[in-house]
Amino acid sequence: MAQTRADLGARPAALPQRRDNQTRLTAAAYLAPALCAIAIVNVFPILYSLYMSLTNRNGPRRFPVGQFELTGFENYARLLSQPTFYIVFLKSVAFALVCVALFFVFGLALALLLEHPAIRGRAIWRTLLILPWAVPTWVTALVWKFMFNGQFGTINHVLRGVGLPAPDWLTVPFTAWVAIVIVNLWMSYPFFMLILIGGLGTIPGDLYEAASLDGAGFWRQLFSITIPLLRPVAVPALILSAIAQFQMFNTVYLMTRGGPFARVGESGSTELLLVWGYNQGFQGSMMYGLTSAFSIVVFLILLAMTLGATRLTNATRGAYE
Amino acid sequence: MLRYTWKRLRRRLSWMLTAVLVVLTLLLAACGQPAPGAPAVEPTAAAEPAPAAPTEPAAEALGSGATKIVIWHGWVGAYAAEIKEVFAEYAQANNVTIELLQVPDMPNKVQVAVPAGQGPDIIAWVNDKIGSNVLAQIIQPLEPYGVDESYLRATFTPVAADAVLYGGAAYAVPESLEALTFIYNKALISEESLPKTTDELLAQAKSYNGPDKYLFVYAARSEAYFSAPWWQGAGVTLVTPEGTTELGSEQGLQAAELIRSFTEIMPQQIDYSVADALFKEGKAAIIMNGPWSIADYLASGMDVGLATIPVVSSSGQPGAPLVGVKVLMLANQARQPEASVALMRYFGSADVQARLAEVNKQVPANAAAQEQVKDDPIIAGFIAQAANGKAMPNSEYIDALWDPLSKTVEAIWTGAQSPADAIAGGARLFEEKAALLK
Repeated sequence: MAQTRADLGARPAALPQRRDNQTRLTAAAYLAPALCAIAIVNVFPILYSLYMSLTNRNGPRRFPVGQFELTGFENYARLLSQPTFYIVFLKSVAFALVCVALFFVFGLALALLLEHPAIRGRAIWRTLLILPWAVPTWVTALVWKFMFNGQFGTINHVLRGVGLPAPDWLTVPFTAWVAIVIVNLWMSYPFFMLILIGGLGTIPGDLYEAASLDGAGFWRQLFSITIPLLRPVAVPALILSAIAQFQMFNTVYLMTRGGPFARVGESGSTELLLVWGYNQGFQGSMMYGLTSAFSIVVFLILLAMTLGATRLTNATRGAYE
Repeated sequence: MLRYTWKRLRRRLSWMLTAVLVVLTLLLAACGQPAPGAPAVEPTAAAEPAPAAPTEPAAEALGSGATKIVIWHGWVGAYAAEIKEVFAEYAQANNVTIELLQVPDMPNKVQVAVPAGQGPDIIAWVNDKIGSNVLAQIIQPLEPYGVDESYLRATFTPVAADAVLYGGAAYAVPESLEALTFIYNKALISEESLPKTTDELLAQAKSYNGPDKYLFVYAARSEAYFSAPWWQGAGVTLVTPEGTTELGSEQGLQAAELIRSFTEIMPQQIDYSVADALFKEGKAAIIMNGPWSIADYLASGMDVGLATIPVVSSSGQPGAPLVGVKVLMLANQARQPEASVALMRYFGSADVQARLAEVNKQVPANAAAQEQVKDDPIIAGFIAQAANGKAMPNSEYIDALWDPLSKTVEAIWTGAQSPADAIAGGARLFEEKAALLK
């Protein structure tokens, strides 16, 4: 790269070559500590995972150094030949789609509400509504786990109080799934609300005035002005958020550990991709090879999604700029 | 524009959060204000060991000998205090230093520390990790240092000796035994009317039960460990040393049917805390629970008695719980193996084990110590139950059992699968997991 720049002749020829080398060396020396840190902290673990994923280091028998060996793509074959892997992947896709749709609807509703001229004390409301986002996820998970408790939980207290049926949320497959969607929504809507408030600020008010004069009602304005003009802001957020849903682990694991498990040998109703991978690799014995292969596969899936997303968002940006 | 709003919001948010936190702190401080002069910070100061070594603040060194034995353990409370006293006396008399370090998440910690040469001399844990620790080269056999099968058989009860032998070699010195047993509330049921078989138990419960009134409860719904007495009593070997299971056998089906029929006499949403609460509130007459729960029941003023788990009617054999054995193991690369094993033998001696049993109300592994403490009705109850039980398997394949077994129990309990389908599924899942360990 530096060579190319030199070839372009951008530098005055008077500068002696020796000094240039020296500068480069000095730069390298300054950069070295940081580069070493990155190599040790970031690059080495990734390469080591890749190496582990190609070995049979599964279970205690092959844990000690010298007891495991390279076995090629055996772990990948084992992982990808399980039907459960694909079921779990599709479940994660469904979870991501439902969650992101709900994030958008709730985020937009609250953003519109907060931007309404009749609202007073906007800063206070905004702060209160952002609070869920500021709470550490594990705290959220444990608080909600208690609230969803069938016997003692706050939610069932309220439901019983108003005479509604009170399910044992986290032990019934369907309600457990609903519960983790609710918790995820609670944690994530503030982000969308903020983004969309920002987006709403960029829509010129005279568009709405003109629409009103033409007799367009609230819904017509929403679907014909607000949502289309929010697209440049909303689409990247939606895509990135959907990708982030595949990394969902701690909240779900702390609430349900992937369960409830209705039938033996089938995945649990809240066993999303990472939870499933964790349960496969670290329940009972440590399966280092298998888990490394799993993490590489997930990495590739997320990489593909991110690249796809970048292309898509660039396309939309092009259309609106 | 967006970025600007973002930054401003975040800044404002962090200010508001700080303000909210300050207000909350003040409120809490006001509510929990101690009486004037009460030393609010004393506990922290007292918890700090006075001559704490600057490098390892959590370690506690006993004695001052040149030979240093490092023990990693998970002991807590009055029990830990008594063990410390026992070790302090030993360190004094034998001119060694014993360093105790309480280690959370022990199985994973030793797996990292020992191969790196940073492990302890002795690992105090439960016997179910012996097999995987041997294979992972975390612990070493004790024969070279004078602890062998004949010593174990001569000193300890059969179930305790079995628990520490792996592949024919001795890998640990046992300390105490832990098993589930029937605990009954004497105010609700007399010793004579306790059911002797599972058929009697079911029949009696159907006439005894009423609204908020149960004869028998336990953590039935998904706890693999709590279901073991029924499988093993019916004649099922849960894990063989070769890595197979008899879960899917005809006997397994009998036990599965028994567990299914328990759904008719217990609340559907039962788990450990629900069962425990029902028993403590006097809404359940009998609970199946372990030694750790006794102190709590006695403290709440209950008059409780112990009885062995009844005979499983399908086999005519008594219900057989898993007997977990607390042990001391010798770490690989231990710096002082001879001194460590000498200390382990001392820990296995009758006097020491009787002393610990009295403090912790536990069943000593040492046969002579059992004789010394069997006058205590609670300890005697657990001794009788442990004799009926089966040693917790120390095979590495035990790790492949817990998850399939708890899912099997859950599927039977919820009725999502028939008992026959559930045990077939459980056995298949076990085989899949065990195959990875071979």
